[in-house]
Amino acid sequence: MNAGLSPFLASVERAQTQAAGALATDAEAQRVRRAARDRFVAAGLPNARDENWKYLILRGLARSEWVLAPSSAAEARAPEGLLTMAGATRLVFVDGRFNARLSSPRMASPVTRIETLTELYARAPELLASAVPVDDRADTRFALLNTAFAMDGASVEIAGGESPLIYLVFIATTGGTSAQATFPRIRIRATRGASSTIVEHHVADGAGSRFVNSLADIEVDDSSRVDLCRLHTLAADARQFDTLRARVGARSTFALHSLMVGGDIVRSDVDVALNGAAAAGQINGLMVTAGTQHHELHAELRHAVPHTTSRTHVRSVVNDSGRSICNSKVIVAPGARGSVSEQNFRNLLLASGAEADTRPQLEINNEDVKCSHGASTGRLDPNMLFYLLSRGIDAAMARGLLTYAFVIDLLKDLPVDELSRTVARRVAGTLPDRDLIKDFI
Amino acid sequence: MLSIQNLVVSIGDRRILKGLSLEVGAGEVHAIMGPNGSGKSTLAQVLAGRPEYTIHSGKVLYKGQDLLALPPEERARAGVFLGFQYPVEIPGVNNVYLLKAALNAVRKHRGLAELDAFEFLALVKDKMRLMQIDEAFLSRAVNEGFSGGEKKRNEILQLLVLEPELAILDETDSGLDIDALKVVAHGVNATRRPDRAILLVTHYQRLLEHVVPDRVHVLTDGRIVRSGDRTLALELERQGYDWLRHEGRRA
Repeated sequence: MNAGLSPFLASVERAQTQAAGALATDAEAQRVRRAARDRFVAAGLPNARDENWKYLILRGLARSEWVLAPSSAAEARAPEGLLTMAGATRLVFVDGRFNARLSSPRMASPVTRIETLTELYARAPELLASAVPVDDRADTRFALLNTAFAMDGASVEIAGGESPLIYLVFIATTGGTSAQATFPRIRIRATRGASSTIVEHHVADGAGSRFVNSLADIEVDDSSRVDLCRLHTLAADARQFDTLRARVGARSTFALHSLMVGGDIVRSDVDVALNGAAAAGQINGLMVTAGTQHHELHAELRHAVPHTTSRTHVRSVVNDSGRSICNSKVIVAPGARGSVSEQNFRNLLLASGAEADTRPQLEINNEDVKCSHGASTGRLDPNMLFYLLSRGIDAAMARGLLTYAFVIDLLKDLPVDELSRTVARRVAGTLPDRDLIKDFI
Repeated sequence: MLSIQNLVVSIGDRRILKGLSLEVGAGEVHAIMGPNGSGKSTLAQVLAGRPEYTIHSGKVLYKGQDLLALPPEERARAGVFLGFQYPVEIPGVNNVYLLKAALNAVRKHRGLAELDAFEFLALVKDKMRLMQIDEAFLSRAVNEGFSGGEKKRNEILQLLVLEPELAILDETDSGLDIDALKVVAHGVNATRRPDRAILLVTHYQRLLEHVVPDRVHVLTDGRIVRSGDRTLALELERQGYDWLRHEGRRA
């Protein structure tokens, strides 16, 4: 082993040796993995010069070590806190491996094909060549690592109609002293007037540190719509680095609902390209942190062609010495006339040690566009607080209620009522003063 | 019921109440009238416990108890109700839940059992009919998207449900058309009882045509400069406030 490597990169090297036997044996798959691994190692970890990474570098990213999670299918169980949604097809992955026992039967649908990536690549090996959907930029580099070590994942293809509700669960277990690493991965393709709501849930089983490196690769085209609800409820000792890439084609909409409520560190790098006429992208982000929790959402929305629209709404609730970071960039390409973009960020700070950093950015290479952004950071509205107190509501309860209301206002945009209610309850359960406001939830 | 003695209050650097005194007995309806900026709303907010104001001197006794020593939520539970001039919109908090939590807080203070969901709903629906509030109200968030008139009717609905002993209504008549004014006045009249005092803060006397006060006070420049019966309100309507302004400065 190279003595000059950081503990993180040493972990990559160790994993490569460990994985040689465990991962897909197919020669093409091995080539793709190795190429991705080599690109990651050559690029190295982001460093202090990468503005978007400075907070995590301070948190000791390079010093963190991990090992590939061993197969634990036999003793795998469904942890508490999974959502129950009537009519949903559920695919469960434990430490990155598909678990048929914990999954539901797949709903028969003439317009939907739900399968594992193993099944997909067995059926269509030619797709492997395009399995690395990202470049080497610092913000998307962790996608390479995912490609190098992902064991399996979920593939959803919808064409020409509405899919049933799909629930993808990624459970991260824990083992010995080193952080166990898992590499969840999803692939979504929607076309010809398809519409689909997909819930992606990252959840931990048991206590102990872990490293989750996830990837979502999405294409929505030809008058289709995909709503992806990502619920991050990992345990307090888990670190997740996530990359999402979405390509949105003509008359299509991709809506991301990114709900971060758990984890020690959760970082998501989202890249949405509006490539077709009348394409639309929406990002609804929620970050709820407490203790020393740290959430980051980095979003880049590119208007590549005329008459495309984007909307980014992000809210964070930060308590104790938690931190939320939102870095959102909207780029309007030359010639993309008539683009409309709206960015809105609201942070609620509940303690003096809490910190929220918001950086809305606009890069407009064009005239004839309508772009707006607004950001606010503050404490609970004193007028609302006094109104509740003046009705005899206890002060702690009033604060809890207003915090809940701040969150709920964003969740009401979730695409399925049952999901809104379920997620609202789940999120409310992580708020301070949750016991005081349980009658309201 | 309520005894205010020489109350001096400021917000920021600005002194607003400059030695205000007022006595309101149980069963009485008092109107506080005055020009804009005279301190009417400050008085209402201070009585309810708004924290932004600084009390320099003076006393407020409510049923013999030092009202200013209580935080706002305890004043509400003790039976003080403020009808807001500008009721606050709270997206994400349901009207009915707020009303239920508020009522149960008050009932707990009075040593009464909490109402169950059915009893509560029956009570609310009964009062809603009185205030001509649509059933859809039940599923809406507090004042969110309400018209000015709906917000004021909602304030009176809360008054009817919570049954306070001292109701302070801050310009509840402002922004209402004549039909809405009658509904609101009807609601206020329905709460008149021998053991309840009502303080109406208003700029105009038109509400007083429908809710007839026992006493009318004129507040100018932070002090009560004239008190009388309801005919004082009519005189103000005829002459405006200017003829009393100099009394505020002199007093």
